[in-house]
Amino acid sequence: MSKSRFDKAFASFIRRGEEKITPKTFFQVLAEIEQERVQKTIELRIKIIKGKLRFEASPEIYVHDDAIVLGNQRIVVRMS
Amino acid sequence: MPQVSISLPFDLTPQHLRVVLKYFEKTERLIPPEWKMALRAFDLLNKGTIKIERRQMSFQQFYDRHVDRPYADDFIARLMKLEDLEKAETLQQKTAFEILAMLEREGFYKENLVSSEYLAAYCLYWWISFAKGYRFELSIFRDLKASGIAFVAHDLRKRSERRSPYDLLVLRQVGDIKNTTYFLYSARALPLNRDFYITRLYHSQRRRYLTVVLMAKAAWRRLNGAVPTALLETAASLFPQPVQITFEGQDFVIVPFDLWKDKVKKRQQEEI
Repeated sequence: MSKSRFDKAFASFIRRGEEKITPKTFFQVLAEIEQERVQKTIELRIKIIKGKLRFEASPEIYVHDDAIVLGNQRIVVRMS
Repeated sequence: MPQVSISLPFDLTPQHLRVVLKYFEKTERLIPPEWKMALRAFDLLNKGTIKIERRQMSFQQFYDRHVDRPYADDFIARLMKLEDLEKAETLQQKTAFEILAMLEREGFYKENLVSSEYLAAYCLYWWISFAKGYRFELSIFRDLKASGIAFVAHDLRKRSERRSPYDLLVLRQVGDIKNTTYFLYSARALPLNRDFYITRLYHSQRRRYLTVVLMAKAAWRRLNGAVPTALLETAASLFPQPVQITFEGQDFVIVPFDLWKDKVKKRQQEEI
C-alpha cells in the first residue's frame, strides 16, 4: 500500500481526537475477546484419594496427580 | 542515512494489515470483530523487528528508545502544567506530528522501505494511546481531588512510577485508569485483576463521553450497592444504569463514575 495513503490516514487519525466507542461496541468487543479466548472447553474429573486430590487421566490434556501441564506451565491444584 | 530494514512477524496476516490501515482511516467504522483483530494486530506488531546497520531491535524496543524516552517526560511535564486539560489535545497532536516527522527524517518511515508504514503505525498507535491515557488519568486525579475523595496515586512525572503495577489506591482497593481503547487492549492481552478500572464510553444519545467504573464484584460489594445482572450482549441496553456482567468467568459491576465517587466518599466519611 502506498505511503501517501498512510500519510493521509495518519494525519486524519492524529487530528480526529477521541474514538467514539459506544457501550454497545464496548460490550460487543469484550464478548468477541472472550469468545476468542475460550475456543475449547476441556472437562477434567477429580477424585479424592486418602484426602488428596487426584485428576483422572484425560485424552485431551496431560495431568499427573494434582497437577495439570499446560504448555510450559504446571498448574498444581490444592484443596484449602 | 543508516541502512535500515524492517521485518513483520510471520503471524501477522494481510487481514491484520488491512484492519490496521482501517483503524487509522476510519476508526469509527470498525465492527467488533475488526476491533478485536486490530488489537491483536498491534499486539503482534510488538514483535516486528527493525535492523539499523548491525543493530536489531523489536518494534517495542524501538518505540521505547526513539519515542518514549525522548518525548514522554516532556509531554507529561507540559500536560501537568496545563490548567485547562482541553488544551492538551493540541499538545498531543503537535507531538504526534513531530514523532512522524522524526521517523521520516531519520529514514525509518519512507516510500521505498518495505513495511515502514507499519512501524510508523505502531509508534503512532502507542503514542496516541499514551497521550490520551495520561490526559484522561490526570483529569480523573484532578476530579477526585476536587470531589474530596482520598486516594494515593503514582507520580506520573516519574517513568518508573508510570510503570507501577496500578495507578491509584482508593479505600485500600487498587485501580487503573485507562482510556477505552487501551482498556480493551488490556482486556485482550492481560487478566483484569485490579479491583476497579476507570474508563469512559461514548453515549450517542447524549453526544458526550461518560466516565464509568468497572469494578470486581467483591470491590463493589464493599460499596454496598445492588445492581441488575446482564449478558455482555445485552448490557449496553441498560447503560448508563449500573450493571453486573461476567467476563471470562469473573464478575464485574460497571457503574457511572459519579455514582462510584458518591459511594466512595460516603464510605470514606464512615471510616473517619
